Amino acid sequence: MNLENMWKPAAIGGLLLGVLSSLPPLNCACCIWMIGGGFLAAYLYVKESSVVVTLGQGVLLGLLAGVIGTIIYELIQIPLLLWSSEGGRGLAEQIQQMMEQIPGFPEENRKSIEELTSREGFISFLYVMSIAVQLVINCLLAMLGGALGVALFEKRKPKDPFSQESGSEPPSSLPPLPPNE
Amino acid sequence: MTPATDTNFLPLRSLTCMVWVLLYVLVLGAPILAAQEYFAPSTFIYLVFSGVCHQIPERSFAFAGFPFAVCHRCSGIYLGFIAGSLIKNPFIYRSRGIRRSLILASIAPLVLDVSLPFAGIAESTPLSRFLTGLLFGTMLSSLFLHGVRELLDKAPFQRLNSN
Repeated sequence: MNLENMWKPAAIGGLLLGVLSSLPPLNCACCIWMIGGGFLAAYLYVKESSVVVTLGQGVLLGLLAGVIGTIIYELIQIPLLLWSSEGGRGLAEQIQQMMEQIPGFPEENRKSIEELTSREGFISFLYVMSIAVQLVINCLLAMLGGALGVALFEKRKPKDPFSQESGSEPPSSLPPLPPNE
Repeated sequence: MTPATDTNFLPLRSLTCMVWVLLYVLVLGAPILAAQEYFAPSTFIYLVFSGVCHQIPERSFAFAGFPFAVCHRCSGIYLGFIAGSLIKNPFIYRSRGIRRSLILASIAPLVLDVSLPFAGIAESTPLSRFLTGLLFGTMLSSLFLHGVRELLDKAPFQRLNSN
């Protein structure tokens, strides 16, 4: 398993994941971009790889794409949040918009959450916690996409039909058999 | 597969199932917490899933008047993750051709369910969105489980165990 060759496809897949999932209205496509990031990474790696790629490598590619994609997503979101209002108020407004979407949300709870979000440090804590959970979810979904990509695009069979080591290095050449006397 | 991984497969399947169950508990937890008037944690859960789902209330299941943290389709996909980790799918482990056919067969309904409304041919319903997501998630989860198993087979600690 060659990790060095995985970084480039994972970075490209992560770029897809991070950019498309943060651009409205494309970010309304549910988890498709998260799965798609791992899927693209697997596709690119299968095309470049000279040996058969396994599902396990697809899962690993997805993990890398998920991490990179989440970093890119946050790198895009942070300036947007800072630009949309003063510092953390961007996130507080996002929370308030979310509350307004919840049907039957009581007014007294809205006020208590507004008071909570106005506290210094709370927004930062909330944001860090949400990044941590999103990282886990994005990685899981991208890993699924990586496995899917390998399963669809890897059509080569392992050289040794009795071996499950389909992603390993090819065996060294054996000496020729002695001639029959 | 190495014997060591075979004997560890049930714990791996159980662990994977627990991860998906935890994810779905969060999805269900948002409306349940909101119904119990714990709005701060409920809003936090909605915020977390806002990055992976559009969360349109009209396209989401609801509990006590509060929408799930994800839409109909995503709810089906996440439940499919749980189902896929519980159901032993022998075809995933055999012929690559059969596996590929199964994958395409599980993706096709989802693609149709998404694209037909855009084309104005048919409307998707909550049930169609949920079921197509369930089918897709089940297949995806089986693949994922197989992939994690292969990854663990090649993990450095397996070489230590065999030495």
